[in-house]
Amino acid sequence: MRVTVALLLLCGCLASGDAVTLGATTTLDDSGLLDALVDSFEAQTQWRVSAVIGPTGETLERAHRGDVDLVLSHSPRREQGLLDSGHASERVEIMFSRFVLVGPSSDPAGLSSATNATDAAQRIVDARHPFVSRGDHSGTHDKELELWALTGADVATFDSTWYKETGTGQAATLRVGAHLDAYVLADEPTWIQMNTLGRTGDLQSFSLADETLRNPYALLRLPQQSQHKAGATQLFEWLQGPDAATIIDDFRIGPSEPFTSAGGSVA
Amino acid sequence: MATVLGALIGIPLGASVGLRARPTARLFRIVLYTLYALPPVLAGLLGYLVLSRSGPLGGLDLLFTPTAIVLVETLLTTPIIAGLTVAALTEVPATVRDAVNASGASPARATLTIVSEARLGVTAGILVAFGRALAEVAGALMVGGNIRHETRTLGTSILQSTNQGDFGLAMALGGLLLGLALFTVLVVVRIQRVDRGGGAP
Repeated sequence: MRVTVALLLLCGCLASGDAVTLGATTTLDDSGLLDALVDSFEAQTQWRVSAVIGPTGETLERAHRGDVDLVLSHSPRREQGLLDSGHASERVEIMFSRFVLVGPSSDPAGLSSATNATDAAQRIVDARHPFVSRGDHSGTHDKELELWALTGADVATFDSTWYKETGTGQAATLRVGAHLDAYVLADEPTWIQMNTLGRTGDLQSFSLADETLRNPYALLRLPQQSQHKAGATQLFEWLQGPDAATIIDDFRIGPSEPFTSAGGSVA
Repeated sequence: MATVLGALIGIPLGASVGLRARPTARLFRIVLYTLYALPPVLAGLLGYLVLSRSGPLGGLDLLFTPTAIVLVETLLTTPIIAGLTVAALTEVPATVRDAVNASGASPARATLTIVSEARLGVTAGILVAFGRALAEVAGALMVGGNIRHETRTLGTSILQSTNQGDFGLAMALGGLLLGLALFTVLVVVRIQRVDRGGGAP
């Protein structure tokens, strides 16, 4: 039995050898884009990528502790916080998608006549119709809180009879929303993915042309020394390059291509 | 979708390091029995904090590896095996224990013999622990990270599939997990039958 344990420990050491640990957020994983990017990178280089998925809050905490080599997330405010505190050395926006408000086709809150995102958020608050929140400190959750703030409403006063927090990922939250016939703020790619697979019940999306709903994804370069620094740097560069951009722009979910590469614009 | 089967099978073996033959130590027993309720998610969190690069054992670079999962599972299975072994040992008749102790065998040998007398109960403990490790999700998720091709176990895969609404896949994986458990149990029962047929005490 001791031999087994020793062998397992050895395997463990070997497994972590030449892999870059990328902390990425759930919306990237749920949509399938992350796998596409990782597969391509691994095929082109000798590096393996261990993608550890979690909501933005958890991912950035991991970065804080130095447990990941590189971060790809979508919460500009929190990312800036890490830059300011020195836990991240560089931030580069590499792509963006959009957020979309979805809800029951009966539309009790009247979102179809909303003029912009703030108006839509206000209508939801006024209608007090069930709204399902990520509630997990994710980039999506941050954006949702931003919308409430724009209406001037105080989230703390939101009654749990209509404001439901799941504390889980986008796909799971959409499922709960579908079940409750509630409004949900989702990132468009995951929404399309789940919708195409028929897992969103009666929910439909409400189109709102509003820059507030832009969803930028940024790479965070971390300053700490790690044995995988070369790999992390290579991945960092590659994700800003033309191959990654092509994959991002052409990534198709159902009938749409919901991601757009940013051409490496520095934030 | 790679599963860490080898690790899950190795855990009960590794955990038998926790076998104790001290039926008189009440404090030990209380601690062990309390640890039956150790929440896997807590074990996972503790494992994470210890193995994190900013943690005490961060230098070992074990976070997000199958080894980390094995360690956390061992933390969860050891109390079970140890506790049930203690219970099993109390079932060994005092006469047998006295006979072994009086036979002049070394303490190690004596312990081995007594434990062997209790092997039905000990095996039961190992099976329970195996079930616990196989079914465990939260701890494996925390220290393993559910990384595709690397640290995705059957348990974490079921959780992920469920979250994404792919219930068909989740159920299939669940069936596979139970099938694995069934196979193991059948093997163990077979061994026990052979053992009993061979040399009944």
